[in-house]
Amino acid sequence: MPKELGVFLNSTNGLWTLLAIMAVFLVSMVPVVKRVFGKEYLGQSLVLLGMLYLAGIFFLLSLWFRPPRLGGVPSTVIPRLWIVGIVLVVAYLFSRIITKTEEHDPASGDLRRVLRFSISVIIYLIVMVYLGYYISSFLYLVYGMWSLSYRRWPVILGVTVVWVAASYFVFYRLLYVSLPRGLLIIALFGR
Amino acid sequence: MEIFTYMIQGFSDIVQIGPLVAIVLGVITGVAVGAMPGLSPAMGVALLLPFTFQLPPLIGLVLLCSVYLASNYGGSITAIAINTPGTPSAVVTAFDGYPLNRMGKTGIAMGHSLVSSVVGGIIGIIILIIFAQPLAMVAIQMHPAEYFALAVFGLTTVASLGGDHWGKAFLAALFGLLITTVGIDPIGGVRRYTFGVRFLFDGFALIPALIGLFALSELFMKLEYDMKGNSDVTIEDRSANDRWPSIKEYWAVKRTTVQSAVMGTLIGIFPGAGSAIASFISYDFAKRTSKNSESFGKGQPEGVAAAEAANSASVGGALVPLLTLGIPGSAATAVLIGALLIHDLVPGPQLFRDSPDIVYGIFASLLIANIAILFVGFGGSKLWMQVIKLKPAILTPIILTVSFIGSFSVQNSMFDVAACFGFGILGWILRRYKFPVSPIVLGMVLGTLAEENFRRAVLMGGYSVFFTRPATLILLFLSVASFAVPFIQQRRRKRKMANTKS
Repeated sequence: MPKELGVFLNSTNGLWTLLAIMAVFLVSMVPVVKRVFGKEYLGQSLVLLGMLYLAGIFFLLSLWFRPPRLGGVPSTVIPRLWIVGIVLVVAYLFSRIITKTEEHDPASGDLRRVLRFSISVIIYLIVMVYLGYYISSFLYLVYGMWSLSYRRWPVILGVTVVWVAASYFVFYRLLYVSLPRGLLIIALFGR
Repeated sequence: MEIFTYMIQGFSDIVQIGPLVAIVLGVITGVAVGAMPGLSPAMGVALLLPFTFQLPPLIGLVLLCSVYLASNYGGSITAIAINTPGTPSAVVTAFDGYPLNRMGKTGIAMGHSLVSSVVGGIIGIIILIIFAQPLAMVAIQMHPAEYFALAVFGLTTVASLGGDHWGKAFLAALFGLLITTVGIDPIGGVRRYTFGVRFLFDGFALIPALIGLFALSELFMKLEYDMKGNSDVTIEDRSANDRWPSIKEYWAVKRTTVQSAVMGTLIGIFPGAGSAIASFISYDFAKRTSKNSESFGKGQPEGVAAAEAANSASVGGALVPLLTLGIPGSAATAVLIGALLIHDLVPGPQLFRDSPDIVYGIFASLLIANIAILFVGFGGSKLWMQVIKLKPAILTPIILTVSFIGSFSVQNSMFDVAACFGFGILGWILRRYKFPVSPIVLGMVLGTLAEENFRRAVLMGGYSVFFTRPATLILLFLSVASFAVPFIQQRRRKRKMANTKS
C-alpha cells in the first residue's frame, strides 16, 4: 500500500475524511437497506453497517503499523483479532435480520428534542472553551430548563444560581477540582 | 485465623473520624445517586472518582465503595415510588415494588427493599472476605496465558448472559475491545489509530466514556421517549401508607433473601455479570421456588426481597475478581480499578500481599456501610422522595453539567468532555436498538489486560502456550462453552415452540 496514503489517512485530515466517507456511506445505504431488509430494520442495519465500516477502516489502517523490531507479536494482531470477531458477529446479526428473527426497530420518540438538546450541548461546550465553566453553565442551565418547556423563571434562576455557586464551592474550593476558566477570561483577567 | 487478625486491624483503621465520615457521606451520596433516574452506580462512582485524588487511599476507596454499595439500594426508592428505576438493577424491584405502592403498601415495599438490601449486602461481603484470599493464593500463580484466557472468559460470559440480545452484547464488547487499541501500543510503542491527535496517544479515557455511555445516553433516551416524568403518587398517599413491615413479615422472606443473596454474590463474581443480571436471575429463581409464585409481579414482598438482596450481594461478588484478579465484575468495579490505580494500588493477588491494610479496611468499611444504609434508608426515604420529584426539565441540565465536570477533571482536558458527549450520542444510538452499553465498558477495561497478557504469553512460550497449560485450556474451553450455550438454548426453545405448535 502506498506510504503516502497511509500518512494521509493517519493524519487529522485523514480522520475527517474517513468520518465524512462514513456519513456518505451510511446515507447512501439507506435506500439499499430499505429495499433489501425492509424499513423496520433500517436503524439496526445502519448500526451494523457502521460497525462494519469501522472494522474495515481499522483493518485498513493496520496495514501501515510499524512491524516489531525485536520479534514478538506484531501490534496488528490484537486489533485484527477483534476486527474478525466484529465481522463474524455482524454477519450473524445480519442473518437474523434477513431471516426476520430479529426484533423490529423501536418506534421513534421525539428525535427533534434530542437534536435540539445535542446542538445546545455543542454550543455549551464551545462557549465553555471561551467563557469557562461557570459562565457557560449558568447560561446553559437557564436555556436548558427553558428549552425543556419549564417556564417558572424564579425556579429556573434560583436553581441555576444555587447550582453554579454550589459547584464553585464544592468542586473548586472544597475538592480542589480545577474547572475550565475560559480562554477569553484568561486573556482578559489572567490566570 | 489470619483473616480475623486482618479484619480486626481493618475495623480499627475504619473506626476513626475520617473513614466513618467517608462511609456516611458515601452512603448518603450513593443513595441519592441511585435514587435519581438517569444516574447509575457506575456513574456515581465515576463522577466522584476524580474528587478522591487528594484523599488518602483508604478514605478515597472507602468513599467510592460506599457510594457503589449504597447506590444499588438507592435505585429501589424510585422504582417503588414512581415506577422509574433509579438504576438498571432496580428494574426488577419495580416488578413487585410499584404494585405494592399502588395498593397503598409503600412502607411494606420500602421496608423489604431496605432490609433485604442490607442483609444481602452483608452476606455478599462475608463471602468476599472468606473466599477472596483463597482465590488470591491461586491467582498469584497465574501465567499471562491464563490471564488472557480469563479475560476472554469474562467477555464470553457477557455474551452468554445477554439473553436474547447476546449477539448485540458480544458485538458491544468487541467494539469496546477495539477501542482500547487506539493509542500507543503497550508492548511495541507503535502509534495506532491516533490520527495525529495527541489526546489519543493514551487512547480514550475510561471515565468520560463511562459517563457518556451511561449517564448521557440515559438522558438522551429520556429526552426522546419520556420527559413528562411520573409523579402519580402523592406525598400524602405515601405518608398514609408508611407502615414498615413487622419482624414477622421480615422473617417470612428470610429464605428468599438468603438464597438470593448467595446467588447474587456468585453471579456477581463472574466478570461482566452486573447487579441487574443478578437481580433478574435471582428473582426468576425465587419465583420458581416460592409457594406464592403466582403473585410475583402483582405486589409480592418476596419479589422485592429477592431482587434487592441479589442486587446488593452482587457488590461483594463483583469485588472478588476485582481485588483478587484485577478483573472488574461490573461496570462500577471497572471504575474502581481506576481508583485503585490512581492511588498506586495494583488490583490483583499482590494487593493482598502488599496492602492488606487497604483490602481489609475496605472489607470492614463495607460491613459498616451496610449498617449505615439501614439508618440512612430509614431516616431519609421521605427526603429522597422529595429530591426525585424534581421535574426532568430541571434534572436533565444539571446531570449534564455534573457529567462534564467529572469528564473534565480526569485529565483537565476538554477533549475528554467532547469524548464524553460523543460516547453519549453513541450510547444513545446503540441503546435505541437494544445494544447494551455495559459490555463496551467491560471491553474497554479487559482489552488492555487481554492484549498485554496475550503478547506476554506468546513472548514467554510461543503460541502453543495457550494449548499446553491446563488452566488456560480449561478457561478457554469454558469460554467456548459459555459462547455456545445461547445457541443451544435458542435451538431448544425453537424445538419446543415447534412441538407446541404441532
